[in-house]
Amino acid sequence: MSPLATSADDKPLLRIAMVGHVDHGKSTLIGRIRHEMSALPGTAAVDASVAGNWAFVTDQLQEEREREMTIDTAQTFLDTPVCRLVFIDVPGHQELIQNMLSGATRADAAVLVLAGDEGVQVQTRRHALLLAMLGIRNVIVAVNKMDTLGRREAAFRALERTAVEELRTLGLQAAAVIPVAARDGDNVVQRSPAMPWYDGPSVIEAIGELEPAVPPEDALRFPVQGVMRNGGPVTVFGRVLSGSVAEGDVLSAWPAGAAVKVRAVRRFPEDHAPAQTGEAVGLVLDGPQPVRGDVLAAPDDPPLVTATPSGRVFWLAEQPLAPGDVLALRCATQVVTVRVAEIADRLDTATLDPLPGHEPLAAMQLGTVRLSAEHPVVLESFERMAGLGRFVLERRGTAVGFGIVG
Amino acid sequence: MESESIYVIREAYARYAKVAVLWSMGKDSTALLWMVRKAFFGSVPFPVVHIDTSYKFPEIYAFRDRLTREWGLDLRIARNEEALAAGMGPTKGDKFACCNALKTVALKRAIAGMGFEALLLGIRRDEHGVRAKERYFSPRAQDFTWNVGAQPPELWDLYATAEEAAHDRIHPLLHMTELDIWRYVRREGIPVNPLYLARDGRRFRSIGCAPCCAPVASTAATVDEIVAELESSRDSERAGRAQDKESAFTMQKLRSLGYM
Repeated sequence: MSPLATSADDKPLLRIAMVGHVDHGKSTLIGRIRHEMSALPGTAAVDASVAGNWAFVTDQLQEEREREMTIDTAQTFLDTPVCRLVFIDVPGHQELIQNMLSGATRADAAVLVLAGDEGVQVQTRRHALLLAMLGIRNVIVAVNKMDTLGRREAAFRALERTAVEELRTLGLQAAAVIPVAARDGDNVVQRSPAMPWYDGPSVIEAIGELEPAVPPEDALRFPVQGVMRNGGPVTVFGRVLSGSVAEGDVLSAWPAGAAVKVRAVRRFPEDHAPAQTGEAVGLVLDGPQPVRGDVLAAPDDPPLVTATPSGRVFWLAEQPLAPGDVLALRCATQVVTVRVAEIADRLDTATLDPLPGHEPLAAMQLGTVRLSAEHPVVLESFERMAGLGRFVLERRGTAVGFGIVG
Repeated sequence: MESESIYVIREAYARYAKVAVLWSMGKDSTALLWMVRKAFFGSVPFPVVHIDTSYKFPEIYAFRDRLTREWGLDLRIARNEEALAAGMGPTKGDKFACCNALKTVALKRAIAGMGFEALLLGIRRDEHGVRAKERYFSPRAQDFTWNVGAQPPELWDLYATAEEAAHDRIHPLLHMTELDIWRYVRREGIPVNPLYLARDGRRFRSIGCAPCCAPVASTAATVDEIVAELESSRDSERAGRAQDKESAFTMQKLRSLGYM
């Protein structure tokens, strides 16, 4: 990096998804935050015409404004003096769960928005379940529409208990539970003088207190994205998923397990320093040339290689998933044809109740799916290494479900 | 932030036989081209397409020709000659029709003529509320339409590419803001079109066709000064773009017809 790089380029980034049931105030909360925080230098002011209709900050489609409902996920940005915040709005409607996931899979943290007048609803629970599956542990609960409850403490405490209990059954712990009236700005950025009984943080203060989840140092994993054969030496390119790689290192290329030696680390402009986690680089290798989908790894700590992958799968498509179905599994840069061998332990994600039998997996159900793959797949447990512990199932090139490797 | 973009660029290169990058010579698509060079160790291994309305500023054409030479680009120029011959222009009809004919239709013909399966574009989420809803890999139908309300799911960086799509739009800079781009231009020393630098108290924040872009009041004459100006400004980036003001939802309509 050049000496001109300033700390502003490298401020910590926190991406926060607003999740919860339809019409509980997710877009309104984002719009209100953007409005109040636009006093920050470097932040464009919110268009004065949306005053009061704070949801219009992210609900910018004609259909969204007419129906007063978020249809597609959107992102809005705030550059604060200490960090960069990205707010990810998602639709609450259950028919739009795929758009919710397009947003939530990009998040590091979440605010679960709960309307005081309706309490925990089907999509509150389902979205919380998805946060747990996606490994999003930084969760703040905003009990919105406190104005409909007269801003009373007793009403808030009852909802707080329910929300904390719901999250606990999913293995989640709320970093804060906050009484909010997003439309009026109570406890959004400023503490609300109308709820003097509450002495906790505002939503923005609670976000500021979140500790970013840092993945632990781990062994080298380098999923090969492709091979460049024109212009210079044959170069394997990709991004370091974990660990680091230096010139002279001997690695193993999976699923075959062949040994390769790193002759050069390539960048433009030329720079041969070891490549660190997260870096996109090129490698010139001695030995059998790997192909797209292979995973380079430290030889003393090989990854999991299996022709019978399995995971907890959340299903998205209208057409259910049945034993015998053939799909494509995408994990990191691998794409492998798989056949469904067995579906077990299904869960109704609206109620969190188990479903009997080995029936097909319908939309918005969760189940353990065992697959039989045409070629061995390189995986890790999601807990150890998320990038090799999650996969998408595709039909005709469209994602129809996703899975988490246990 | 850069490695995320390079990952997306390389996914496109590894997965499609015929890829191209759209270049308007603005700051975003020039930063994109810079990242393509970094992704492939100094070369741009696919064609670079300029959608030329013929109404661009002279500085834009000069900048294009200089970098094409210096970076050894395979430049392809796409123009809607018929519409231009028939007199289409920003002062002759409504701006919606002009953008559609000279940009979208020209692009359609270029894709059909050159058979591209995927196009890399430098759009960003923070530019416009409708672009805030884009995906990194965005399928377009045969008639070029984009159904913003019914986009396929895009989970993590596991990009799916629908079999029925006529072509895919790839957006490697989606997560970057205007300020991110300028900080990146500063860090990397990327060449800058002189229109962005203030002369006589005015500069362009967003550049396109000369008749439809207005400069903003500014004294920022260097990249450092632009970064400092944006760090303290509260005006939106596209304040000078006529296309966004003409009527509500113009951008949505243009994009659903295949506009960039």
